[in-house]
Amino acid sequence: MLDTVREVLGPWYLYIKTLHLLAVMAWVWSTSVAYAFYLVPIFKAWRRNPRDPEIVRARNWAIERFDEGATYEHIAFPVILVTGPLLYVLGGWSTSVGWLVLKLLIVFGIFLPIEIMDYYLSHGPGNKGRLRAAGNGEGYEIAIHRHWWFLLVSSPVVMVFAFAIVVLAVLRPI
Amino acid sequence: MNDHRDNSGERDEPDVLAHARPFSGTPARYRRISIVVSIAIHGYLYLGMLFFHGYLGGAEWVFGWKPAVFALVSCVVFARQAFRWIMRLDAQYGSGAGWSLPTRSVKLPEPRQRDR
Repeated sequence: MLDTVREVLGPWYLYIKTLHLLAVMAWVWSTSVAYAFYLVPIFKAWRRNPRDPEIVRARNWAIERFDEGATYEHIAFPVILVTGPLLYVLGGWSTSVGWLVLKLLIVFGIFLPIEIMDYYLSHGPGNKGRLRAAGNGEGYEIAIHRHWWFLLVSSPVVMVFAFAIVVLAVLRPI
Repeated sequence: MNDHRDNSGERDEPDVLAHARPFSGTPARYRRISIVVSIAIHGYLYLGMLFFHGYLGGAEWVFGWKPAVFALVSCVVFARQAFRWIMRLDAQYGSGAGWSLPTRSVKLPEPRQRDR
């Protein structure tokens, strides 16, 4: 099975690597501007003024747009999950390569659960636009609180370990 | 020509505060979460490296004291920084004095609900 994969896709190694890198770029950076310059300032304002209806309106609009804005990231991530292991197989890599093992541990053990949760919050039952359209006001508010919890807890993890992934892949320190 | 004044996508939100509730995050919870998350991540990565790179990959260096010390130090630093990061993100630090909150009347672009 793996031999067949190597034989068929081996000549395409660099093309797959290009696709992998493009997907990594989209995954890492596609939500960064919306997050840093729109979402976080509005959510900080909401946390300081939780009963201000104008800020709550801005918060609601921003998080609904952010749900949609995460689409690029969430298309890119499955591409990474497919192309990454393909490169591992085609490149003849093994567990004796330290930087690669650590990188894969980070992707599959840390980022995969985070992204599954993110899919749920942005496009699944936690999608705020659909909750609003369904008239589920209480569920809408709960979903926003849950999303903010997710962003609070995941932000330091994502920033540090996304950076670590790039450092491991490029500098290969171990 | 498109009519950009079309209001058919207008939000149906009679009272945005009708379901408002206090956010459940507190500094004590953030501290606890930062510590637990840091220990879980570093423990997982350290043990993962021992098994995959050390045991399966035959790398002896991962069994030495240096990776263990590095993981421990990184765990402590990450827990501390993650806590501070979360506190800043959740507006628990600072007064917000660097921002003003001017009132504006705006129209927000909304996607139309499409029949599937």
